[in-house]
Amino acid sequence: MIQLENICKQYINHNHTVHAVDNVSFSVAPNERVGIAGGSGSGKSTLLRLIALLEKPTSGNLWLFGKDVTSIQNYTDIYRSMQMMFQNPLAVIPPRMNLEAFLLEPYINYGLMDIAAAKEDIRQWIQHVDLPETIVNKYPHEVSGGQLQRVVLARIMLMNPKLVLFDEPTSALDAVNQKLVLDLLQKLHREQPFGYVFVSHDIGLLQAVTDRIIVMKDGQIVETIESKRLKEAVHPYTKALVEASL
Amino acid sequence: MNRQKPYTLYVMLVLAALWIAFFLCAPYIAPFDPETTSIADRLQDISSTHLLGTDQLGRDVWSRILYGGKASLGIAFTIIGISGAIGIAIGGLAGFSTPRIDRWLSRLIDLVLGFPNMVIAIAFIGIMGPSITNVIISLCITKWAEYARITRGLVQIERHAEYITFARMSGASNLRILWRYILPNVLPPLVIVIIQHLGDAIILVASFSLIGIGVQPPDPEWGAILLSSRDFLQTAPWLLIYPGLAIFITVVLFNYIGDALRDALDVSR
Amino acid sequence: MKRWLLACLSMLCMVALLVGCGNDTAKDDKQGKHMNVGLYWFGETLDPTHEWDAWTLTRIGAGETLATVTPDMKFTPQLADSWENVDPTTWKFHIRENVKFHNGTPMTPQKVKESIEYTMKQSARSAKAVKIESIAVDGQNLIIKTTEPNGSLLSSLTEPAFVIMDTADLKDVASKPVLTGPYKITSFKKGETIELAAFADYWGGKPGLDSVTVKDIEDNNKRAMALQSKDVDVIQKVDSANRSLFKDGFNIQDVAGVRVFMLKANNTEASPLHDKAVRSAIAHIINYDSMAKIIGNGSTPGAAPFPPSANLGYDAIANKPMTDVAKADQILTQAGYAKNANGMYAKDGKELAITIAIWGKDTSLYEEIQQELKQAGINVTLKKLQSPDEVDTLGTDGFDLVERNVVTMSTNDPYWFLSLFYKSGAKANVGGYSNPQVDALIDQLSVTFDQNERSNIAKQAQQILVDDVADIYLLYPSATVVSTTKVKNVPVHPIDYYLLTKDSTIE
Repeated sequence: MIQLENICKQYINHNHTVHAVDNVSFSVAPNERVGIAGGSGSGKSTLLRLIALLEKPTSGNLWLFGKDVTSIQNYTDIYRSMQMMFQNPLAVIPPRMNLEAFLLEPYINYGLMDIAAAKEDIRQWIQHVDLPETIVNKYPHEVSGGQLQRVVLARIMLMNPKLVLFDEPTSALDAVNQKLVLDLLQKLHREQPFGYVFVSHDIGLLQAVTDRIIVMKDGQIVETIESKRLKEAVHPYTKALVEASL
Repeated sequence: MNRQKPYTLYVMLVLAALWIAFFLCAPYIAPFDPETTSIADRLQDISSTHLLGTDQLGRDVWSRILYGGKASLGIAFTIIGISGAIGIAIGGLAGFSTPRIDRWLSRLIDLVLGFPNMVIAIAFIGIMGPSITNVIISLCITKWAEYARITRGLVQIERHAEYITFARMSGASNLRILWRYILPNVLPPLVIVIIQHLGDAIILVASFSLIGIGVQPPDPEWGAILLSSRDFLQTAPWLLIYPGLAIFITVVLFNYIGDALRDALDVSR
Repeated sequence: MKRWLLACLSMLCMVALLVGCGNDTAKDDKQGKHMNVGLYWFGETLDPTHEWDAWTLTRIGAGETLATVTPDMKFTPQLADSWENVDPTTWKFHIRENVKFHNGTPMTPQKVKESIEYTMKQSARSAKAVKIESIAVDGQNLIIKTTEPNGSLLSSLTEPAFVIMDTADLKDVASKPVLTGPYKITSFKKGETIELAAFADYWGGKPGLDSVTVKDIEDNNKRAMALQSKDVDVIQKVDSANRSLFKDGFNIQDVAGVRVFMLKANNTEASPLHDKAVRSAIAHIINYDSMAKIIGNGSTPGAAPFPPSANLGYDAIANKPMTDVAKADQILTQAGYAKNANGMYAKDGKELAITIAIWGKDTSLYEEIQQELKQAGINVTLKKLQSPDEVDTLGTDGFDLVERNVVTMSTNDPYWFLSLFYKSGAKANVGGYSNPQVDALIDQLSVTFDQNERSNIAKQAQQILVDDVADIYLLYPSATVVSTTKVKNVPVHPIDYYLLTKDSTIE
């Protein structure tokens, strides 16, 4: 589903070049759950943004759903099957839009179903993510962070994506809400399989929600390991991350 | 989150709406025709028939102030409306388009911003002759650029907001993003600017009439009334006080509301 | 909050500036008797031959002509002590002896001849008025020959452009012309002040003042305020709005003036006023009493070309239009006009609507006329011109009536007004008025010398103009001079280019 080959991303910062992503290659199979771990500056978020087509790689090749991304003109088609979830839910919902309107957007833009049916569909999704129905009439600043992330998750899942990219979606939440969101994610994945790439600085968290973990440091992949076998990690950096998460 | 209802603001908004509506309804409220003269009744003081007295041609001052307000406010609103619409359209386009289009539009905006707008307006009227239409055109020529600049700045900020990114991922087209996401966030600060500019516009229009290049006699307009009454500064000063007061109150009202709206909108965010 | 407060304050300041607060510097501490005068107009320069600039010179007692006009409108000797009309084209002027120029040079007949010739050379308007062929010096006399009999020679020579100057000393003619009057100019600041000092060798005796400062205060309010604050001691012209300020503690002098405020009519086919009925109807709708009231200050209602003060038998003029709206309706109906659904007169489906071109600062008079005509059924548009000079270039489709404010008896002679405004094809006859009878009378006037006969000819022309309803005559403003009680001997003159005299003084 995703294939990266020698992907590099460079920035020029105060006269010296920063290699945010340095010669990264890997692939993700359909319905596979992959995690990317690393500290800040490791390049994991940049890598995710490259996959999300929010930035262009300096060099290297990227294929999504079998297509070379450089040949794609209209991203709208890709986004029909690929979604991304960010860390701060307040940043992705316009402050003056209420949650129902926010949830209706994909239905309208992709013509999934008419408004009346869409509203009914939304209501079911809200229930499915364990939120009260009345929440759809509220505005983003009136709702707590944990609840908002679940709304965002609902919004992503109602599109039935083949691939979702997660950029530290629970890092800003307290432990209780973090667990709620992650449990929800697992439940949704069981009901309707899809592939995802989950970026986090917490490698322990990754172990619970992914099949495979890619470890990055200074823009390069230092180790790839099956989540079950995390304890058998070889690279010192990976080990350090494991230590830190305990 | 508890938000204090800005009661003063609501009261002022209602007052302002009433004030404006009052003058716009001049044809229905005014007891006399503002242009009908009556030499026998000239320069009378306040009376039960003439609420604010009569002027040097026996015209009812109260009626002239009412119609004058309709003219002053009407012209000011038209100027702001037209230049605002043009400015927001061009500025929005510039802020949202490709860098190439943006560069050309920005150059145009900066060029027009650099013009001395009073000089150009006066020159335009000098060539085309004073009339209400020409006053409006002469000021719109340069004013739109201010709104374009502000709009472009706001749109550019909005454009890079994360919810715009997310909206694209929701399949939104450029037009939809502009209409549904950017405009609703850009309009509130713009509305505040526009309300404040309304006060300026009223003074501008009155000033033009005051130096003889705006509304021409016998059409009533607050600045024009000031001009024709100036000989009577010492002998009938009320002819100057009433239009002056009307201008003052209007400008105070608009500027207060502009400031209060700005504060109120900050709180909710 | 500060921004709009600033805007309002600047708005108030603009009004204040326009109204004209803030007078000049402190009062001058001059030795002896000094008077400050406020005039309502300066010319661009003080060169006697440049446009109308000389009118200031006669106002301030600096320049003199061969003959002058008294306040009761009689010709009287000034630099010539007698004259006679020898034959139709020859005049003999006896030049006064012992007259000195401001620079001490004696004024001889030769110098007078040179001055007159210089004016004729520099000013086409002046040359045309006098029609002089040659001037010869004969002892203490000047023998003037005209190209054709010119009944207006004497009066034309009283025009301020013919003040006698020393043409040998022309280097400062634009600011300090060398003249003969009781006061000589010591400095000139364009558009602001003229300083004068008494001329010790004045032929008429010791002047009543030692020095004079003349200020150019064009704004009516500012001028009135200057007198109120005693920044000036005397002003020429006050408008009715400010007149009441001087009721107590000041002297107000009015005299019926020789100016007429009129509306020059477009008599050409381009205008509905081509039809005499329309002109006559308008002349009967306008309320002349209201006209006089609006200008106030002793103004009198119009209805004829020359005011009563011109001594041309105003009261005896037949067919003067009186305000009579019913009669106007009759006139229009007979001419084929009828009121349509809007209450406006219309003929052949076209509404009667006219344009009045105006240029003066005060538009109240014309706003009132607009209302009077509108209520009677004629629509009026007021068209504001940027300057009075535009009047001459309006073109026949630019107006139906145009504002004019004219001195009818300039140089105490009706010829100038009649020939410039009513002769076929004349320069100021912008409305294209043409009547061969009037042309003939004007030509006759030009070669008539006897004063009584001249009056009769003018009266005949006047009657035809009234019968023809050539133009609409609104009112005759008074000439006014207001001064403090300390000022003596500054008379008000129907011809307002006379003001200071040798006897003008201050206590």
